Amino acid sequence: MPENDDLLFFGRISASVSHELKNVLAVINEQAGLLEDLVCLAGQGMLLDPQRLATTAGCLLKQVRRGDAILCHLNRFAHTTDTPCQQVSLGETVALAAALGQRQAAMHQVALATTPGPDPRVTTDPFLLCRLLTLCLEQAMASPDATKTVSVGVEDGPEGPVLAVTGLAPDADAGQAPDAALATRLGVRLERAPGRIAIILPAAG
Amino acid sequence: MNILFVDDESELVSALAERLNLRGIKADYATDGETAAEKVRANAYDLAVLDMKMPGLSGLDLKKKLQRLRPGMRFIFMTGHGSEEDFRAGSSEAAGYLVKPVRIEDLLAAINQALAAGQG
Repeated sequence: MPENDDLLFFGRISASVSHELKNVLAVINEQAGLLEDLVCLAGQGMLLDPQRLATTAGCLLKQVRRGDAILCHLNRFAHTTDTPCQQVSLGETVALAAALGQRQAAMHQVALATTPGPDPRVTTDPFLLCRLLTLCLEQAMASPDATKTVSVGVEDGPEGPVLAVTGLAPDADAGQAPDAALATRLGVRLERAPGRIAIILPAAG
Repeated sequence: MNILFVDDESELVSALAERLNLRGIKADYATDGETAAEKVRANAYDLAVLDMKMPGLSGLDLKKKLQRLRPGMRFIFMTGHGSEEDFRAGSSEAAGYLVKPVRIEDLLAAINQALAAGQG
């Protein structure tokens, strides 16, 4: 059953994504307005530089692609609530959490990267897993190490697949670890080591 | 009239500055708080249009910093959020508050209103 914290998390992600989309629309609005201004001035006799038009058109196309990517991520995130128990690609979960975390990474002035690794499928609650991984990433981004690069990836562990978040400051406050109750709901184990948080999932089968 | 736009979306602020330049208004832009502060030290801006949520310094903190550098400067906040919290903070701390995307006519009206109020 969804809990109030789940709804708060969904709202927080939606607010962050809508803010990003507002920025995309704002850029499109100004670049299109600039084109309108230039065309208007051309109508009054000003020479139009074709390169100037090409640059503006390129910017518009880039923002449309950016907006499309943001909406794709939001759509994938929304569909994590479809069923509380389904086959999930851990690689896709990592990619989604990293994509949703990019704005917050920018706000913290931290680079957020995914590391290549295996892509096992597990049966779990995709929404809760995304929420737990996002909480781990948020903690890492709030207390990064000197490189200011937080990485997330899938690893093979002795107990089962592992979602590993690295790049935390070695002295990051362990007392602020993501809610253990969430890990319990999900049936996973959280393991902290200096500079690292690991979500250990049960082995398949 | 000399305006500074500050927002981490470079393609937004560059276009806004260019659109004002095309209307005969002197305008420049910065994409972070540090660059904005450098520009304010070097130039006599009348007004700055600040994004409320930027990496590093928030719009509210940047406004305080720029105001210390140039006490007579006026400010307008621009935000993508449009939340009640932002509206309260933005409205009380600046001469204007705009929600993205902004119509150029609304921007020009807000700038004129803020500068007229500053002369009063």
